[in-house]
Amino acid sequence: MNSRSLGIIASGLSLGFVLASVGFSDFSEMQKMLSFTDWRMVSVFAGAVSLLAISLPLLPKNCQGAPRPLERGTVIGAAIFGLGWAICGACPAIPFVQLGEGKIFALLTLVGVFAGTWGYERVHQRYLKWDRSRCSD
Amino acid sequence: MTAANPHYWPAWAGALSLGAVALSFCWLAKRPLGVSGYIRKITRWREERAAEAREQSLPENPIEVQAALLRATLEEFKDQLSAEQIGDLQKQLVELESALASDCGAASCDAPLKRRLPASSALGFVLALSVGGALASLLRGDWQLQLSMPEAYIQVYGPGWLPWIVLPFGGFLVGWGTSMAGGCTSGHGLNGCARFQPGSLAATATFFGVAALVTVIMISLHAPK
Repeated sequence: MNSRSLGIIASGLSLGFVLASVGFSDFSEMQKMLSFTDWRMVSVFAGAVSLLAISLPLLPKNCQGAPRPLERGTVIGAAIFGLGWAICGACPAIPFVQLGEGKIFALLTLVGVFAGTWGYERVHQRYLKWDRSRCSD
Repeated sequence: MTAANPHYWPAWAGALSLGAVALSFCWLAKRPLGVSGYIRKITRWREERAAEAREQSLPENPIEVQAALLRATLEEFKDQLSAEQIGDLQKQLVELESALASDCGAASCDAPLKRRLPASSALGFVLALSVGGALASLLRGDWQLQLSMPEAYIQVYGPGWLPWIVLPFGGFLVGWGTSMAGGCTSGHGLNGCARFQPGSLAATATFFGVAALVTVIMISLHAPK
């Protein structure tokens, strides 16, 4: 366990703390955000993106990520993700946060997320095989 | 009758904290945050461990790798290259080797080759998400073991078995969709959009738009008649 992995774990802790504190792990808050009946969480997201847009270029070059071009799966995948997000109120990180908060039902969501990820990876390797700009594909 | 909502952070606090966490991750891990990628790594545990083991045999110094590649190139193609080309490559090799011998000098030695994020770090990260969530609700005083379906889901899906299958189904779509799109709200949404990457902007607009549309439909289906 080196200092980098410790830093990554500390980041995970902070992210879980922030997500839970803002309300991303609460289904009714998520519905308020997605239906734009409450702009609080929309502003959180927009504000965070703005902060990153200003500060990411100030970080060393090797902290920047790879380019993200529009690929064949981008829009369809995003649409499928959006549908799933609306019906269960969770993006991939959320079930982990919910479990920490004692919301044991989130185990169902989590199993689904892993199954969906695993399932798509198999389908992609075997049938789709398009470029995802990943070395491991 | 609705349950009392815990006090969530105001927008400015949430925005600053979320941005700060994403930024500090980039700085610590030398790559942008992207949670769907960590779930993917965990599902590919064995392949990832094998790739990490292979990676260990690579030198960290990018100049060493360049030199090794040049040597291999010269060896492999020496019969197909002209004398001029061989001389050219050998000159480059000498430059690289002297850079290595003279303790680099060039800045590139300070930037070791980026290693892949280990699957174990990905697992540690997602488990830490749970601990962070636990801390937040404990400090707020509303930590509660909830085995039953909460009110919010029952309001939308009814008190029967429906929410119990909607959750894993929704999760399945989230897992599938984020894998297909190559990112989620952190990878595409936060980092990709902040860097104005076309794929991320398209993905974020799409998943936000679809999620919003579906939510509005869901809510209107349950509006009092």
